[in-house]
Amino acid sequence: MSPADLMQLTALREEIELLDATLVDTIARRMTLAKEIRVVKQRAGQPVLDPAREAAVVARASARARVAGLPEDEIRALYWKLMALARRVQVES
Amino acid sequence: MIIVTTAGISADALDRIIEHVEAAGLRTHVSRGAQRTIVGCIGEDGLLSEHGLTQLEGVERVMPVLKPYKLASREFSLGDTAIRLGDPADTTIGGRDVIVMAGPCSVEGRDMMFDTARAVQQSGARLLRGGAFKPRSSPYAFQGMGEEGLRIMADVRAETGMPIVTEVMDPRQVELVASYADVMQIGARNMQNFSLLSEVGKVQRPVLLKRGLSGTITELLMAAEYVMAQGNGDVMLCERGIRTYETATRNTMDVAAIPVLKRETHLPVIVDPSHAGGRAHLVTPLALAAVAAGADGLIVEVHPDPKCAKSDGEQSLTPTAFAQMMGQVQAVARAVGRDCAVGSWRDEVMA
Repeated sequence: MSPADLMQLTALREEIELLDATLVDTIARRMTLAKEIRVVKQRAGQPVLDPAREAAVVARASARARVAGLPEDEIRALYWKLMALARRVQVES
Repeated sequence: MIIVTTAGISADALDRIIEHVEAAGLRTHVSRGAQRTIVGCIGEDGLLSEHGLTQLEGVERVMPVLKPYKLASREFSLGDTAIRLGDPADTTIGGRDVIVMAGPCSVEGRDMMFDTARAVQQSGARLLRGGAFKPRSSPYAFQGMGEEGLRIMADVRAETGMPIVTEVMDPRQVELVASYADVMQIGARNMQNFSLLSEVGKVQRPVLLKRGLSGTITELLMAAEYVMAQGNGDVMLCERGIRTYETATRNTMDVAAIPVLKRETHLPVIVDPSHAGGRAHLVTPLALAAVAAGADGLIVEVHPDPKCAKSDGEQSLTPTAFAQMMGQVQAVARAVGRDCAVGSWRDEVMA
């Protein structure tokens, strides 16, 4: 690998590291909001699991992925993981 | 339950069908074909009203799935699953070519691994096999080199470009093995280790799932379902012989399992003639039978000096015997409308 390529690779990796940090912070913020929702749901006597709501969230992400030119199936899978994580955070909080 | 859509369904209409199913608490798996798309529904079918579904735009028909496996079943996919490997991804398992994986039972050292890899690659092997963690029947037998073995295999990959397939035995080792391996093997003894299956399902690495010693075909497919249910659809099924009353062979290779699996599932089917026969002289005939019966690939044990192998020496081929086998495998593959690339070294051996 040439020194110029190596420099470019390092710069791109640094940019990805920054993005990764933002991603994790965003997920953390999402989970905090999920916990707040849990409190409201508890007060209203509603269960944690809301399949219709989750399906709508995943469908929205999938449509957005399509517009962004990303593979929908993978983004859907990622969002279902996020749904599962949010549910766990809500149950355990 | 499977929803078959009308030809040329719009993305929006498909979104609405999926959302309708998921809002009822089921999960979906979409398989897109040139004409039609099918939406597989996973979960309690009773939660869905079939009547409501048929009213949705783009739904042509709704069919129940009677098999216990869903994601693995042929009905859930419009085509065969093809798993692409390598960097660049030039090896496709589940395509027209029969793909051969070869190498020693265990990684025994750096030099033997490099020598074996070069020899089998020159004869046409596309993947390198080798065990770093070994499930042995005796606790006193060689247990494998562990992470050092994985490092050696990764070095061989860097040199040869061969993707590596190696066994993972313990859910706690999944991340470690996944950080080295291109394909994670689940051994026959772990076919129904459901926590291990779930764990490898969470990691996006292709899985080679071996049929258990007494596993039925349905149990093998249910084990694949465990991996797939976690989101990892790249599963290859491996017939490696089952335990019967026969003692002349180590196991009995279930040739019929190959066409049965090809009919039941869209997943690639690999055959391990080494474990099935348990004797070196049986490996080639069993490999040829497997290819003739429709196997998508073979996984074969090759050792530079089988007499001195630390495990499974009696069923390992020498590099020369492997080269000879590859020529015959190619001939049978071509006879059944497929192909198998063999290397230049084989020609030298055969000359």
